[in-house]
Amino acid sequence: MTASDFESLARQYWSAWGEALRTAAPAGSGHAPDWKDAVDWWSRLAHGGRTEANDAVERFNRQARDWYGQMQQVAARFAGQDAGAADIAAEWKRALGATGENPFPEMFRAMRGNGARGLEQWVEDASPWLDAMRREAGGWLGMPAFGLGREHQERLQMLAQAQIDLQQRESAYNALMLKSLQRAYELFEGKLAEREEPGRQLKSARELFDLWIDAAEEAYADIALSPEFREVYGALVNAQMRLRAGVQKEVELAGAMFGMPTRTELDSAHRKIAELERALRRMRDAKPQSSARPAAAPKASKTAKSPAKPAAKPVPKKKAASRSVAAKKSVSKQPAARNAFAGIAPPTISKQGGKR
Amino acid sequence: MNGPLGFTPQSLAEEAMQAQAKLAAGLDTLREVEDVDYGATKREEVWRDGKVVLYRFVGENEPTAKVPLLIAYALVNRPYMVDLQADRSLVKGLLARGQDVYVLDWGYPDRSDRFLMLEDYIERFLGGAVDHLCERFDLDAINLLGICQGGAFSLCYASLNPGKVRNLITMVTPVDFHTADNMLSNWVQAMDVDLFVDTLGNVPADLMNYCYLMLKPFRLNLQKYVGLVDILDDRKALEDFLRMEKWIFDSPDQAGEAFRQFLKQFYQGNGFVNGGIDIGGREVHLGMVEMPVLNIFAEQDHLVPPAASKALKALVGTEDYTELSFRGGHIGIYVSGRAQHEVPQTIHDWLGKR
Repeated sequence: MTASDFESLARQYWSAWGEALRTAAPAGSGHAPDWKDAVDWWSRLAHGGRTEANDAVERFNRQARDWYGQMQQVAARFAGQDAGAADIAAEWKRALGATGENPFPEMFRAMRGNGARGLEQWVEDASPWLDAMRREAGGWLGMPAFGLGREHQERLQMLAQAQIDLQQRESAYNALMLKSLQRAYELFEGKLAEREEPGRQLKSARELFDLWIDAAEEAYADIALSPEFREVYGALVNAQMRLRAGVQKEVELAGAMFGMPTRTELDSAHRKIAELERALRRMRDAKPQSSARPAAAPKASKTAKSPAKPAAKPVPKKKAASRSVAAKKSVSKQPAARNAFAGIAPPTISKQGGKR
Repeated sequence: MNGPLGFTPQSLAEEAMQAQAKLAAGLDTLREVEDVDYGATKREEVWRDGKVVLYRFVGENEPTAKVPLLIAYALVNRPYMVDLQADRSLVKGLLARGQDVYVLDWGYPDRSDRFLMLEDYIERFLGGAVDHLCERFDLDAINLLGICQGGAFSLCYASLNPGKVRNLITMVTPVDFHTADNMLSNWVQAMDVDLFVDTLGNVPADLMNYCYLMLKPFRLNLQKYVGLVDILDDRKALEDFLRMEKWIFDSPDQAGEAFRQFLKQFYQGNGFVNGGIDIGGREVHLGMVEMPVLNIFAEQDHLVPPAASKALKALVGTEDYTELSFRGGHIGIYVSGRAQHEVPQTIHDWLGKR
């Protein structure tokens, strides 16, 4: 598509709007092309600039286009009429219902990046297998396992159970989102009613859209701050993690069969390195005199920090004696000791810039 | 008209035509925008420990302050928010007033960093940077400015090493993690954090960003991008928007063990209030924070509600405690027009008296 194609399509779009005006037919009644189409054309054309710009266009197209497009259609449906708050809210509800009773999960799924989508993608890919296993297995999930394959069977049973559990937790979460959406419609209608007062009427489709956003956020916040949400959300995340952990375990086992290093083995090595570095630092800080190089030794005279040492007792609150700068000066410094550590682990700590 | 809608088909068509004009203009401006790089101020590396780097900002004039000011930012976003662009830079404002400003860049942890703990971040990296500056200036203590999670780290460090922090400034820093309006806190209370970290290892940045967007899903995912149409014909505004987008989504993964500790001890345990924060075997008591404290919070902060920050007043040991309540949000406190004067001036004046 070229810029002239876009202009041509845009002309068609606005001609249709003009036709709707002349015939006084609501634009949402099927005469006018959808805003979503116009933005689709635009988004395709707008690509090709800088990465950040493409990302923003993509987010705009993915998230905002449908919702604002729907609202524009609703606005066109009632433009110039004395429609009441209840009628407008009902039409909005109907418009959203046209894309599914609960558009929230769809919207939020589209938002997720690769880091968050890894498991979801896997579950989607593996669903035919997991579903078949579940269907055929039926009561098998709870049966005790025996013999040579006992451990494997039990592990697979747990994995299938984890998938079922995740589906249940997702249902509970989606039910809360639906509850939030229903409340948002009520709030939206209430906010619309407030705008029936003379002088407070909405002047544009954008203002109507913004009012819906206010209502939706308010309803969502009420749910998201509730104790019920806390439990449902926590259970959902935990279920996701149990399934993901089970999947990772299977991948590790398969990899190990072919002699591939596993994540667990790598983690184990990384843990050892981190603990070794930490132990070295503690030794350096705890015994600066013995480990410091001669040049550094005179400065490294205090603040031994023993990791096993209990925490200092808190001083009485608002202790009257505030420390003076002179008092602070009496505290000696540690950097020389860090130089000593630099001698132990040169690849980890390097230092640039000198003392002024 | 008697209903809530005060527009006509004609005004609606005009509105749509305006949007069309913006979209058409956007086809040009989106191609013309400059690379939205960040960092308005020249900086030089002065110290490094692994991936963690301490930078000194180089102002147009030599600093007049005798004590350096070290900025410790959060782990969850990149620290260049404090120096985003020339007309939105806390750093620039501080340098212009004579401060000698440093920032600690935590870097991007990878799988080899999964077992870094809070002790590493607070005592090794933050402590290492403080020690370097003390040595460089032949001082016993420096000024520390902690932001958001970096503010919580700074409070821990100041509590455990009170002799090394001359003045402490905390910005949008959570202290009481259990206030009723803290949505993030509500979400993590029933989470099995051990299972979470054991499964994920490091916590992916996308997952973190997803959580942040879900705090206000309709505003941050829908309304914001509909609003983008308004500025498509304004190259400068579009560049500002894209630069902010870059910052928001340019996020490091979180080192697993440090994340585990932070969620359990701070979010779930509310350790600053209830006790129980353990950093390398030493317990943190805010009563040990006896140095002067300036606590800056944002009145419309949806990530760190004001009440979560203001709790600091009742917990610190110092009698020299000052608050600045900024009219704005968690990000506006760095980048809004009013912040450019108000925040650096307050910090500079406050430091100047101590």
